[in-house]
Amino acid sequence: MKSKILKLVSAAILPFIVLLSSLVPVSALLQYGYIISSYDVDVKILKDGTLDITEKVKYSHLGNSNNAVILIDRREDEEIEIINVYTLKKSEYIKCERLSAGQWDANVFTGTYSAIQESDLVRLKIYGSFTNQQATFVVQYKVKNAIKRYKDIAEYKRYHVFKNWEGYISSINIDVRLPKYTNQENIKSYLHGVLVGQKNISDRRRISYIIPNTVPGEYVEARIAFPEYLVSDAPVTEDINYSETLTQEEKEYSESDKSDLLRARENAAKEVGRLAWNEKMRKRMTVFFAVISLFASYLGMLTILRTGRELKAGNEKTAFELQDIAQISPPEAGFLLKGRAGARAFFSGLLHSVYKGRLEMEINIYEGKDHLSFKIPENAEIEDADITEQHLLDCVKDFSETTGSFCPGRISAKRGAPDSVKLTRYYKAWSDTIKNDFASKNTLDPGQLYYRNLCLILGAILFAAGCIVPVAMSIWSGYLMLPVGFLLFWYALNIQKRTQYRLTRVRTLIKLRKLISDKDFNIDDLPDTISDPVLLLAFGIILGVENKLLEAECYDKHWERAKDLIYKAVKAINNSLVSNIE
Amino acid sequence: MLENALWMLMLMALTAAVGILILKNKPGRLWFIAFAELALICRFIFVFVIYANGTEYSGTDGLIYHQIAKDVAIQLQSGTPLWNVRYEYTWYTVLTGIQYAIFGVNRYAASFINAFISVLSGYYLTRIALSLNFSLKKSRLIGLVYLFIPSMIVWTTDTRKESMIFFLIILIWYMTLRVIKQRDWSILRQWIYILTVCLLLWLSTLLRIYMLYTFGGGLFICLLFYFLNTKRNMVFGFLFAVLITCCIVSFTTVRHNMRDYHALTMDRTTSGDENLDEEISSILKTIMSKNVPDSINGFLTKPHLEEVPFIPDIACNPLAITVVRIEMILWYICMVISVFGIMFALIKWDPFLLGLLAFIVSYSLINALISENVADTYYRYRAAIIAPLLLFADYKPFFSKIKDLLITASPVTKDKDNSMIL
Repeated sequence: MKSKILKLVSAAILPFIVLLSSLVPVSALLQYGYIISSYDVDVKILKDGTLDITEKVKYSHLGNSNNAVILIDRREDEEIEIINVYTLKKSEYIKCERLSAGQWDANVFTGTYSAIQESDLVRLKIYGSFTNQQATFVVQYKVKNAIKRYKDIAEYKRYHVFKNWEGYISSINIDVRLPKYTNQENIKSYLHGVLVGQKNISDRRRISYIIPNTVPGEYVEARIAFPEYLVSDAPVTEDINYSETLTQEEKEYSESDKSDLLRARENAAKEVGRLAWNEKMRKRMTVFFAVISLFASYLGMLTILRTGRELKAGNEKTAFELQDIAQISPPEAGFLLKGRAGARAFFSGLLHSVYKGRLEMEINIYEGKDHLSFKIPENAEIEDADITEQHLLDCVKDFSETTGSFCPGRISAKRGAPDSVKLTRYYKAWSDTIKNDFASKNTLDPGQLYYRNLCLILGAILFAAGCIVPVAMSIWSGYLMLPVGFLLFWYALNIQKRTQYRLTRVRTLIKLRKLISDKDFNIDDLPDTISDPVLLLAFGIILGVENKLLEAECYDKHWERAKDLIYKAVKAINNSLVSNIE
Repeated sequence: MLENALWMLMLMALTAAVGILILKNKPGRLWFIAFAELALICRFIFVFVIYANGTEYSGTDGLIYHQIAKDVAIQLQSGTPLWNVRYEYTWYTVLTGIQYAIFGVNRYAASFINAFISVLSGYYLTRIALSLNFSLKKSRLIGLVYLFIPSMIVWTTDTRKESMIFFLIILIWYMTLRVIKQRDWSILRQWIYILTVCLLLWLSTLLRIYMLYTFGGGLFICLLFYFLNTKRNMVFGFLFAVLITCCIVSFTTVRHNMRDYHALTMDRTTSGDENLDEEISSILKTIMSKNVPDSINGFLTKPHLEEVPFIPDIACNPLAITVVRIEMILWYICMVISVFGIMFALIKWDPFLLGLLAFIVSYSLINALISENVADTYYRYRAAIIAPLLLFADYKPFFSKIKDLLITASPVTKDKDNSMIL
């Protein structure tokens, strides 16, 4: 109950942690964002209230992006038309083509742009072949219905730098030119979003804004009020006097709390220090992890060597010669060789029972085809069989009750077929018994077990570290932990294959295979304990040399006929087991 | 609007029908289909959001493909045979062009089809998980996570080729799994599947030129290990067919399309890359100039949380920035969990999972080496490995195996993989 509650609580908390960590303003490192070193905006207000704007933007860092983004303010009823976009290439301005190609298409890097209309802005993306993340663009566009004309005044109000723009901009110069001359007292200009910046009215029609720089969190909004007759061709937005409202709004702005702008400046100042500290720490971490990776890999290799030594020292060499082979059953021999008891082991187990007289094997004809079949003889003493053999006998008995005998070659390979499912059930019980039996004999001593466990844990840690550290820290040496960890883990997993118990037996079994494979093979050369043809065939199947064995003199024509049938039976068992167990 | 409504209704009905067929006899399939429908509706809504300013002005790649598809449709309608149609950039434009020629030019409909294809990918991913004997709960979770990943919704709704690429990846691996697992199929049926996989390999090459090699490598590993374990002639035939396809497609489609493939950071100021040798040397130059560990880091982990606000498409959009950040954190968690899933797959030595792993590794390496070091590019290209990686994202089997081994005084190799029983 307690663990259930804990699980529920952690499941409920996890999304919050994820959400919070994503909302935390992560340090905006300078090298990540856009850095604009110069931003010149030239605005001409036409008589019909349309703006003719030219922006020259010089990027000193494109924020590791393959394109530059310029955000253009778009307010209600405004229509924005991009006239021209130029990019500076080898001190020459090249005209960019609009959407002749997209991000990953041909010709894109020769200079193209796309304009995406969003609810309150137009997102202008410019592509080109930029070097060192630096680029200069000139954008010319028109904004229709941009000037709001009232009864008494006309109003120009635009964002030139957006509040959520996360880049750094230096040297912002905005120059707004009215359509006609007027008295300078009739022009009122306001600047919002920055604490430091100058505005200046000159030449009776020119309003200039100079802002030394902006940091993330600041924005630049220019607002100008001027006589409405200067835009005589523009439609009237609202037939009201707006001057007082505007003055009131500006008063409210000037009295408003600007702590957020102060905070933005403070954060930007802190960022510089933080960036330097981050860089220093990154370098230290890289060196630290490189050393750790090499050391851990070395440690891993040492552990493998030490475990190998422990394995050799731990077990006394025991003699196991050809005459001793009969001490192990053929399925056990299969398990020793391959680490698993499969279809061959199952079939050899049946033959082993035939050798012991608990089963009899014959060739029967079913549906016009020969098949090997097994059944329990009436006088068989099946009670004496060990538990492993018992499973095989039960299997034969069960099949014999329905079909008269157990005929492996006739078992369907189809998944879910009744005979196939039945066989799989018996197989599982049988193979589990073999595994347990093998495990009880092939044991590790406490020292070996300690090193096996050490290898397992260290291998898992090294492999995981080998996946995570080199990716996270971008270091070559980290990848060394990957193969070492895998090797260590693999070694520990298969440690039982390296015990003296197994090695001596496997060596002898291989010796037997060699003897059988030899062209001068004669059954009389073998020790008496394994010279019985049926027992030898059972081992031959396990060793994969049954065909060679059946060529020997001791096997008569009857056995020659069985050659193909054995293969057919083993294959049928295998296919049936694979289909059902998968 | 009526036309769009009809498209949506038809595709929703088709989603339900296909779901019932693909998840036949699987408990709880109705719930899963209901969620798949919800994922489809989310995509439909997103289509209307991205085309709010008109279909002829929205997007970059998507808009280009739409425009070329219109041209393809005109060619088809004027009687040009399909095999003579001129198209640019990607074979996806031909597919969309065919749709436009039959049903009329409608970018919404093309996006709806993409949305449907991505839901179909979710179904097949679930089927792969079920075929790998994952629990029903885990399989459904994998499918649902895939369907509701926010970036996946974005990539698969515009008229981009991503939806088709993701679908082909999942379909090829699904069909491979079917061929190697279904031993009771007739030889004819098995060969139909094998030849279809070969055809899909060619189609995937037409979509992204290097897909042939990532698939080729993955399938080679998978089939080779499977053959070594089972000695099945059919698997060897499959392996041989894949190798032959790789050779033929390399010398035809890849060679032909190499010149026009520009998803590389090449120096376009020199105009001498007209011949293949220079193109290849340009690719090699790009690879050699890269800091490989940095590039691998970039491909797997970008956009880093600090970089998210600077992705050009979502800059100044706090909601999108937060969503991407959340997704990135979940992706990092998924990757860390997958490390243990990968270890378990290695312990099991399951040929299918090993092949899938080889595919993920080769795809990641190729993209890390040839793609531009740009966060949003990596982000989009990485989306192709999300589905295969989700199949590894489970730490429990590995830890239970370790626990099992550690508490057993005398361990037994408990092979759950019985494909190599012989």
